[in-house]
Amino acid sequence: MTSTPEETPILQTVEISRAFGGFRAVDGASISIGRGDVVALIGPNGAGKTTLFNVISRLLPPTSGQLLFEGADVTHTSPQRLARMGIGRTFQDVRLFDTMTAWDNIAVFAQTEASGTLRSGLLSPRAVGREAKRVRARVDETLDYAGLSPVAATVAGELSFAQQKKVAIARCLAQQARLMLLDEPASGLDAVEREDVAKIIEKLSSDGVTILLVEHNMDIVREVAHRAIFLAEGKIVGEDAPDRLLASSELAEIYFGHLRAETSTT
Amino acid sequence: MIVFGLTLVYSNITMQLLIYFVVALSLNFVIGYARALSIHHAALFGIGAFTYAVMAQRGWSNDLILCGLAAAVIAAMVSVILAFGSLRISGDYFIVASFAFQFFAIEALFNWTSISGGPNGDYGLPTPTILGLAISSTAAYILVAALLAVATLGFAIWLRRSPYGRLLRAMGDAPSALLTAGFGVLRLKVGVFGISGIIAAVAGVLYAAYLGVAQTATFDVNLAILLVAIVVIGGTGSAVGSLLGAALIAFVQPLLTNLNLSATTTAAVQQLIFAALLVGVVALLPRGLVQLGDLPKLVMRRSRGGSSR
Ligand SMILES: Nc1ncnc2c1ncn2[C@@H]1O[C@H](COP(=O)(O)OP(=O)(O)OP(=O)(O)O)[C@@H](O)[C@H]1O
Ligand SMILES: [Mg+2]
Repeated sequence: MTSTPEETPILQTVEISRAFGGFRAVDGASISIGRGDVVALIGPNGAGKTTLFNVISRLLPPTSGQLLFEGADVTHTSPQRLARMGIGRTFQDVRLFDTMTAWDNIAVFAQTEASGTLRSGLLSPRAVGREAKRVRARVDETLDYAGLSPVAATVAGELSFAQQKKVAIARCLAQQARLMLLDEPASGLDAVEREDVAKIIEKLSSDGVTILLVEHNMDIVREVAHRAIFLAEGKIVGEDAPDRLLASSELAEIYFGHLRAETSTT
Repeated sequence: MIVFGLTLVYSNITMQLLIYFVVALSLNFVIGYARALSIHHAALFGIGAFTYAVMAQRGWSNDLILCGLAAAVIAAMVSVILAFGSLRISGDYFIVASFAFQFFAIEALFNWTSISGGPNGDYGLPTPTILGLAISSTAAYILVAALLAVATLGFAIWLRRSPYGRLLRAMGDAPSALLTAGFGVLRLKVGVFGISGIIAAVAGVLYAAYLGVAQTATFDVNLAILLVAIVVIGGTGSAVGSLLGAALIAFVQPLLTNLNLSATTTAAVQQLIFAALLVGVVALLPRGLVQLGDLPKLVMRRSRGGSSR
């Protein structure tokens, strides 16, 4: 299900870079994601994957380069605007609202922009009631979709790690994101839980959501991704079908050589 | 009515309790939602007190609602500036900046003698009115303070349950995740600081009207720290906690006065008691006095060698 060339990609980064001091964590990366694609962003630790996500979601402004969402230049758009335009993301360190229930976590992402003003809650009780009903329906539906209904009332900080990761994905769903950036959705999960997350990703994809995911677990990458992009030291060094990309001995050396070096030091 | 029979001491305790409760609740908005340990709350409370003092003394108005509105406007403006500050500087640096603001604001007010009356303060303030009714009896003051406390508590409860309050809680837990939900943090922070400052200033108006004096010394760094202690000892983010903390302060002060110690000794003993309470609560009840019911469980767990978390 790759996009045809004449169709505008949902996301394009053009020669995008992000430096910290003199260090370029992302270094001239150009990627293009078609509508409905499931693309894996892989690469060794410290390659700049999360930094690229931070730039695409505009939590970090790029140092140079251009960011296009559905053909529109969003290089200087605020993260909250971008979220409203249809980009959702999860975090490698999850970042749920830990003192709030799973239900409330998702409700935040289902609320309208207007609910961010005190005025909205003070005026017109009828409008407030209608909006509350809409949010309730959306949240219940989302919890059901992600298989989280039984833990709706549980405080997020007390959920299992797998459930927390599912809530993070469910939040993107509640905001009706057309593009979801999932940062290591399966890390730290056991085989059964991983399969569960893979199922949700496949279901999202079949419902038309475009997905860009960072993942170290190659089984998941093979299972869900149509395409994989290999990032090393901030640069894109390969892009292909996951099986073919992972078969490259040169990239395997970068990836696993790095892992070997890491395990030998710990 | 029973209130008419209260002795002066008891009405003082009740007034102190109600006012401290309101101020602590308002401070809780900033500490609980914005997660900014604000030290400058006494200054905002003081802004309210001097707004009343100036307006009443110059004969502009002694109406509590009018003075409350004026104080609210001034406190809101100051709070918005501080909210912007809290966005630029966070964590420990904010605490330092907030402390500095508290110190210099009161120092500046002290030296601006036409407003503050200098070391003597503004005294002999006329008694207030509310919608044309004179507030002359102690019972009337207590009634107004109780109304303010109930309104503030009602607002706090409503806020917590409202969609707006949900965003405020989310901001405290994970501000970056809130951005990815499509909400800017600036507007929410400004809102929370504004609400908090307005309530403190309104309480300050009532306090000055009740005492009939406003002195900068009342609103100095000592009170600033005392207010933070009330919130932390009671339990951050908890209305019941604020009530417990306020009650503690309101009762300990007159108890010490009864011991007939010298003024300086009283102050020192009081500070020692609060220091001990603060350390004790932080060590034993990380979530404050509201957790008191869990104390046996916490102690048991600790003595078994487990962690209290
Ligand atoms: N805010 C920051 N300030 C300074 N350096 C940073 C910052 N964020 C990331 N880096 C550096 O940028 C590089 C890329 O980090 P990034 O988190 O993007 O890697 P990653 O590919 O996501 O790695 P992992 O697989 O371990 O999650 C690392 O060397 C990291 O130390
Ligand atoms: Mg990462």
